[in-house]
Amino acid sequence: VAAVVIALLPVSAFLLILFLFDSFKLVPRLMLARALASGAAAALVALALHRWLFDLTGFDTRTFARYVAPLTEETLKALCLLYPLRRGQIGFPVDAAIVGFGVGAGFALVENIDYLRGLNDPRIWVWAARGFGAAIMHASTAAVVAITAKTLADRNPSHALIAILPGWILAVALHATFNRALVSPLLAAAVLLFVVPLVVLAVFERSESMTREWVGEGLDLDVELLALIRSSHFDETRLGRYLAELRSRFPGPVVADMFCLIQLELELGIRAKGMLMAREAGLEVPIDDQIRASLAERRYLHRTIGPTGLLALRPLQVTTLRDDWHGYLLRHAGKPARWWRRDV
Amino acid sequence: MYDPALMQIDESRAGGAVVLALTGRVDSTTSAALEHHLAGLTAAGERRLIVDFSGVDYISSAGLRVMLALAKRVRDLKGALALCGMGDAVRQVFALAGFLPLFAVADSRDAALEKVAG
Repeated sequence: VAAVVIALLPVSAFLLILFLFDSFKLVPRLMLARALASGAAAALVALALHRWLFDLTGFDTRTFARYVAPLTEETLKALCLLYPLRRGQIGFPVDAAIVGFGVGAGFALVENIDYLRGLNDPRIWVWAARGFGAAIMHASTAAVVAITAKTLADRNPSHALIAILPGWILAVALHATFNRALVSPLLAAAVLLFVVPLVVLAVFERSESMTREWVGEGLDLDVELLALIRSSHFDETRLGRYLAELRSRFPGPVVADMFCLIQLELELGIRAKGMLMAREAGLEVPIDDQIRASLAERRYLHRTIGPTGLLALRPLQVTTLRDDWHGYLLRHAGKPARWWRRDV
Repeated sequence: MYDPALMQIDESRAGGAVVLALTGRVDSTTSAALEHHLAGLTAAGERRLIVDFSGVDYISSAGLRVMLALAKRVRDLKGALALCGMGDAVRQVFALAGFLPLFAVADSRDAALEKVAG
């Protein structure tokens, strides 16, 4: 029982702390459950893949752990992060850290359960090294991949897919160093226990202040922009002139829908920021039928405008990559975690 | 730095409630003074509050944050808070952010007094 607790509890407790520390509640419970489940599935794939590769390569355990496992395991965990990153379900490094840690935690839990089944070692320090060392390492490296990918993708949205590579390389290097056991496994676990909370706290601190700034300034800017769009002077603004130019390239109804979409994205952006602001204060804003209708309208407008039209709106920088995240945030506000529910 | 010329806070009492009549702009410059004033009231045990916005022509996210924090404190104290006299500009910001359901909103000060009456 002690072995099970020591092997499985630390990473679960750390994940729970991260989840509770997030004052904006950026990660819905459903998303956290998905991260854990996808990490666990990645671990099952890794176990099967390793058995096959072990037979194929004929490497001894030590060589395999040093050179093969870091590559395969970090690749599988990174693949789990691609979907939420690509679908705009992650808005800031802080939720990237939580989702990444969740994927790694799911991976580590399955891996440790497999060790518990196969390794009848009564020595408690072995399980301490697994629970505090390997499990925290798995979760941390996945968090590193997610944080790095999100940060780089924000800086360069057109290369969002490649943004995952630097974090992945770093994660493989960290994992390989850990597996080389340059220091004793217990010492490595102790170092991780000291370093990881510090790094994660630093990321949280920075990301929370970034989020706070974005919520406040972004809301004020969106409100002003919306007022401008709804004013009689709209035609004289840069935005108005650009939309007028688009009339020569797109049919009238499509340009009208573009105008509607810009307003709608601003309204949804304001609601999402308002929701985060209320959460920070410890209040929950109810999601009403109007929001649900707006989200449905947004999907309709995306269809009628089409990919080319949406691309034409990009230079206006009113519709941003965070719009998808706004939608995700509003859709999942106040909903219980149901793992079988598909995204609308 | 807070400039009283940008926002005034007039405090009065009516029907067992504290009424704060704001005049001017509630923004990043003035919100700290408002926050300080409100924190003083709730710390002194005031649990029935009315904020009259009839003299306010502009509120930004900084002002909204102050109102949200006040709503949370009043809720924790099991008190009552009402907002009144919102002009179109202020009401629209509250509505756009989705905050209207979080507050008891009244058109007039008398109607607000009825909402906070215990």
